[in-house]
Amino acid sequence: MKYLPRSRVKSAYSKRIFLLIAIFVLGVLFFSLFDNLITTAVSPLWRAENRFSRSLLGVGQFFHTSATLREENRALVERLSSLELELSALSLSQSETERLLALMGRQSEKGGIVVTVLTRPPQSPYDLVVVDAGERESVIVGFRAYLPEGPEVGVVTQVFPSFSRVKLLSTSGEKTAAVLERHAVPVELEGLGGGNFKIVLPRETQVEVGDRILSASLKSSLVAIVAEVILEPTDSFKEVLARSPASIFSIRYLALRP
Amino acid sequence: MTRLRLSVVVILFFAIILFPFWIYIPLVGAAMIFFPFFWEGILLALLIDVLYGGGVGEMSDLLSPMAFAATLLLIVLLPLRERVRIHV
Repeated sequence: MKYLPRSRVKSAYSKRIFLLIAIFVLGVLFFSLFDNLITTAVSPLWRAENRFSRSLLGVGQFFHTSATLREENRALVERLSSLELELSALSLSQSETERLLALMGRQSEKGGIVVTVLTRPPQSPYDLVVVDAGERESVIVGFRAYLPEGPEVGVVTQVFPSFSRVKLLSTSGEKTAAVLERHAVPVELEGLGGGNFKIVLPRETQVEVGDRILSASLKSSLVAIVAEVILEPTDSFKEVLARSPASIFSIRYLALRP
Repeated sequence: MTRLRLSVVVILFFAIILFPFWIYIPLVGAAMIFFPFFWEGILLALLIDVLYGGGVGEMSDLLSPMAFAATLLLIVLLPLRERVRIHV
């Protein structure tokens, strides 16, 4: 049996390692140059997938009556939760908000751009969604993304001619200034991924499961709902776990506003 | 083997576009372990970051975290593949 000299084995490894690093560096250069082109080329597949999954649902409903009923039930439950969400998102009455804005010499900005979500978690390993509107639709970096029912879910981080990327507020490590509605306590929401958040509060701060967390802007909107309060007897701080008001895994449409 | 490898790359490409991450990330990892010197894994990881991450090339994002991890895994696997023998 022949064995390669130790030096030659090492040389073979170093050559391969060098090759891998070269592929990585060249790949980063290539993909950063053609980022827009690659996503634009892939987006028709995402659109087709969205259309196909919806039509497949329709075919399934025609053939399976019990499955149809279940699906109908699911849709109704979804609608109900959507309406409940809409209701809970109305933190202040509309007229009161308008009055406050008028007092401060500012006008309410309504409307915005309604966009279709092309990809969402869990397709994406990060809490990031791709939407089908970009520079052509006058979307700019920094636009806030809202669910049709009202809650704020993210911010536009990248804009391309025909699509944009929206980073969700629950992205791991993302920090957002917010207000705990009960006693209007300013807090810093830290994203944990998967539509979850964490807040660290002083032990004395009163907080309960179901409490609402609002964005810190003038026109505050619902951002998260308290899901769990963790308090150890020896700790001087309490950890509050919150969740996004709607499932980020089923977002279909978003409204983008400045 | 080359044809199988190419087919796997194509399947992984479509899996990345169409399936959830908990399907395609383990598949890419398995391909890197199964095929010797699976450098295509770096490109597939870069594709994941381009499509679903904040893009690649930003220093703040560690120049594509997924591809960085894939490169590291391949480097670690180089000597391991030589030393580990699996008998079925």
